[in-house]
Amino acid sequence: MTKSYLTPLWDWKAWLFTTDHKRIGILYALTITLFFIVGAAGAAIIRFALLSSHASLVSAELYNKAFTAHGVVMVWFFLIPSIPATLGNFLLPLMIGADDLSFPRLNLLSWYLFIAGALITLTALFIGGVDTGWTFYTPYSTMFSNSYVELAVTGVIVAGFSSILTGLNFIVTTHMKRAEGMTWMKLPLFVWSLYATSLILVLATPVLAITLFALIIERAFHIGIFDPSLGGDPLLFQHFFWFYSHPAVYIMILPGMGVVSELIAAYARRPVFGYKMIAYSSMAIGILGFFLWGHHMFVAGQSAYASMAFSILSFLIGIPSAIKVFNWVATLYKGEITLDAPMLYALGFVGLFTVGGLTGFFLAALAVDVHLHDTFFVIAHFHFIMVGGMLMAYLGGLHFWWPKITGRLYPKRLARWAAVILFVGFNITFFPQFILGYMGMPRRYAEYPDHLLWLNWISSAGTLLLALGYLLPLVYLVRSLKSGSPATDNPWDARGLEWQTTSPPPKENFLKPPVIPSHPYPYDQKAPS
Amino acid sequence: MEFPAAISQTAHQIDHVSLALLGMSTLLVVAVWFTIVLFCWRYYKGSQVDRTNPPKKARRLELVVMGIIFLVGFGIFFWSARLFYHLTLANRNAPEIFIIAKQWMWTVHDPRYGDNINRVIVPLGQPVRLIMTSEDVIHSFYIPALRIKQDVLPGRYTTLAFVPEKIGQYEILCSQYCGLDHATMRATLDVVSAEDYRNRTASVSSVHLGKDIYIKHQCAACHSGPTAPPLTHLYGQSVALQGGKHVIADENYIRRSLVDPNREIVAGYSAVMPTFQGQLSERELAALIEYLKAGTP
Amino acid sequence: MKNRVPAGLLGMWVFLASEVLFFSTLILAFWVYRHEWPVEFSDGVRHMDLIAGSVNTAVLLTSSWTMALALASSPRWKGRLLVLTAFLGAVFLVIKGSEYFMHARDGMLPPISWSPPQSAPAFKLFFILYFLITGLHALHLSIGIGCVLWARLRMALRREVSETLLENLGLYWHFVDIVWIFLFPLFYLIGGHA
Repeated sequence: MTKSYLTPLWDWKAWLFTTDHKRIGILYALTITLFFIVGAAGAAIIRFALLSSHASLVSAELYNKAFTAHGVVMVWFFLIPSIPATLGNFLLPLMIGADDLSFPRLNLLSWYLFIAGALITLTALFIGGVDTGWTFYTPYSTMFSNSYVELAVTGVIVAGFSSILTGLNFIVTTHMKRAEGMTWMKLPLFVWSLYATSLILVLATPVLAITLFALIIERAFHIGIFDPSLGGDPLLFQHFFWFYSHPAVYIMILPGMGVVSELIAAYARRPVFGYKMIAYSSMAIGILGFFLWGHHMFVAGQSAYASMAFSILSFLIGIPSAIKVFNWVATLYKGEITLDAPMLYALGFVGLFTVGGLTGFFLAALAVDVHLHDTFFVIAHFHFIMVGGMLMAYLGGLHFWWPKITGRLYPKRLARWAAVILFVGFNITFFPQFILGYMGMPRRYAEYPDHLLWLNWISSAGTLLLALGYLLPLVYLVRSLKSGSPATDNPWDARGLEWQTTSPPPKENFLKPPVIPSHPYPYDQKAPS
Repeated sequence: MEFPAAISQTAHQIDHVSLALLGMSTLLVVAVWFTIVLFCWRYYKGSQVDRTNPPKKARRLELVVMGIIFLVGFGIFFWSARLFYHLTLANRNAPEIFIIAKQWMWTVHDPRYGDNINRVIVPLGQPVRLIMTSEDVIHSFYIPALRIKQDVLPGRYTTLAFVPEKIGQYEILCSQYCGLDHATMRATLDVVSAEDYRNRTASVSSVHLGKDIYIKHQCAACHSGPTAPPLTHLYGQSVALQGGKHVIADENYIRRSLVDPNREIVAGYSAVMPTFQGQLSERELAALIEYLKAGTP
Repeated sequence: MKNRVPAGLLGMWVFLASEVLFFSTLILAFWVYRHEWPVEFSDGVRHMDLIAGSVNTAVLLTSSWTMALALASSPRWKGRLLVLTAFLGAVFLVIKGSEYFMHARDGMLPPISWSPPQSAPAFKLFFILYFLITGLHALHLSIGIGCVLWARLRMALRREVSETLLENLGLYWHFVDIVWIFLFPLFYLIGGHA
């Protein structure tokens, strides 16, 4: 019997010096889980603090550091790497019939850079914290904050290089290492989404790196390109920051959309409806996403005409997203549907992403945004997409490919319950925040007007269910490693090349070359034996 | 739980756009969620329904749906953009009140009625224009009852104009994170009747203070002679600059001329004016501007 | 593309694409501020050493030429031309270093020494951007020199140095050169020596 890639299991050198994309994916998975817990602790402080409308539970100082930590850790050390670096790393070569990425050693370097960056930033957060918000707006961050800004920002820059190298690796791999017969139009949609994501990783991240670098220089040496007293413009920081950070949200959501396509196809047992449109819309979102950044600056002092241009473009990006939602739902039509946990997560994604995406229209609409900007409405909007969308896609994908990655099955009934609990907890936590926002509750507020107390209580109460929804998979997935039933090669009878090898796969991925189907998602054919 | 009252025409209109968006969103969300549930129920594995010939694509249907979404979206964009345009560009000549933000308070300077901390008093039914700047970091002036906000920046003026149409006291909140006490940096918008507004005792007027500053810094030494451009009735005029450009002499222009005079030199003059950056506070700059606006320094 | 272009080469092109964005950001910042403060920035340009800048441009362009020659030449000349390329790169750095030294001596190297001939704040902005951007460029050039010398060493030790590796070195070197082609007019020519 051939060894799986997991042998040897307890040899630390085989993990820390590996160049196997599968092991690297697991290294990422373990570390981002840790960082998620740190970010979630920040969220816990926030929701606990907001039980009081007068900052009587948590001081304003701690609150300001908590929301900064929550944002910085969740964005750069959880969401940006999550699906690409874990599921992407593990599955991309398998899905295209390759033995590894194009640059395996570069892949390991990516992980080390990620860890280095995380350690630097976490150090800053733990030795005293940062209180600028994850957006680091100048001049507060450069000239007024008394917190560990330089250190935290350095970690983000280092982690940014990790992103760039991963994106580079994925792009070259997708071009160069597809198996014979695996043409672009047969690629799983997950691969398309990773490709679009990688383009953004490579082109947007450098802008962030240099902007944050300039921030450090200004803060450390008092020579600043954003300093108004020298003729610099604090708005320039915002332009540069959002030039990266808007495409960054597409880095965060596109891979999730890719996963959802895979899950819906598998659990409706149908090829994804409108394959080409979904592939093209991934690319369209990736490219169009570069032209929207000014919609974060409608009231910042930007010209009204520029704001109008950014507004109409922000409406336009709703179209490829709507196409995807339409096609996912259409895939269900005349399918053979089962509602296992991955499918529940995928459908939850579609439902919640729709809400999140539509609330984006509120914010894209100029006059309405003047009221809603910097309020809890914005917070609700992006949490619906990032938590209701991305995080659910991650959990769904983790469940779906768990047997492939670990060779074990997870408990199905418990998993279904966990998905439902997460969905309910999520809505209780975040839906009230739309209302809070419209009622005028600004974000980053350690205390707020009294009449908003009840909505904040409901939101905070929801986090208990939400936490349960996170905890359950953590527990039963880890437990399954020891006591889960062993999985066959293809326990879900899914299509996709990764299911043509053993669970878990051997180090070289395929013992014999996989059979390339005539079209993607061949659920109308039997799986190759 | 009471929604903040909408106390101006614009606020009502913003609420209307939001309602339209809410309607459209609810329709779409219900449609999507309902269809998902319907399909999952109808096509559940093992159900005896017709599954023959599942469509692989439906270009026309997709194009129609996208077309409708695009048109509705564009409609809302257009409606909202017009409203925004009006918001940002209307009432340009309304009477002004200066707002100077700093961590963590709002200094309010009404040229006719003097200073206040954290309290903006305006007359019912009349347009008013806030001219705002910050002495330190970026803040934002947010009045939920009017549904408007504007970031307040260091080193330049930003403006916010509105017409309040309901008497009462309304919350003003800082809505751009600015440090420790960001959440308590609040003020009150006090909308009073026109009569009550007029009957306020006018304290030392801004124009008076501005005149004192003008005399103290001996501006007339240059500006009543050939070495500097004349300042009579400057406000609102088009000024010809060196290099051929023209600029309207608004509050921002006058402020720039005081803190960075050699940046925009008037055509026909040399760069000899000293800078007053650091010598005049924002408050004094505002007073000087008011004095110049009065017309005859 | 799969069978026509080596993966390493495609990787380098993608990497250079990210580098373009990297430099573009600061160059854009410079351009925006030049537009805001034309007087002070032109003044800044006038305080640059045009001769040093022009010599440096010639040196770097020549080094790109020797790099291209190295890639096209026989093994006997490859090594020598690579060393020559690295040497020219080093000459650039020495000249640049001397420019920095002169600026420091004249009080125009923030934050190390700042007692400028001109007190306008935006004049300082010019020099901050000048040092940030050319400093980053010099860093990239230094890395390039290091890599070229390392490749030469490997060749001398009779270790394998693939075609792709050399071509990638060439691509990187030309990129660093092209960045300078943009920086030279920005800092030394435009608006200054009318």
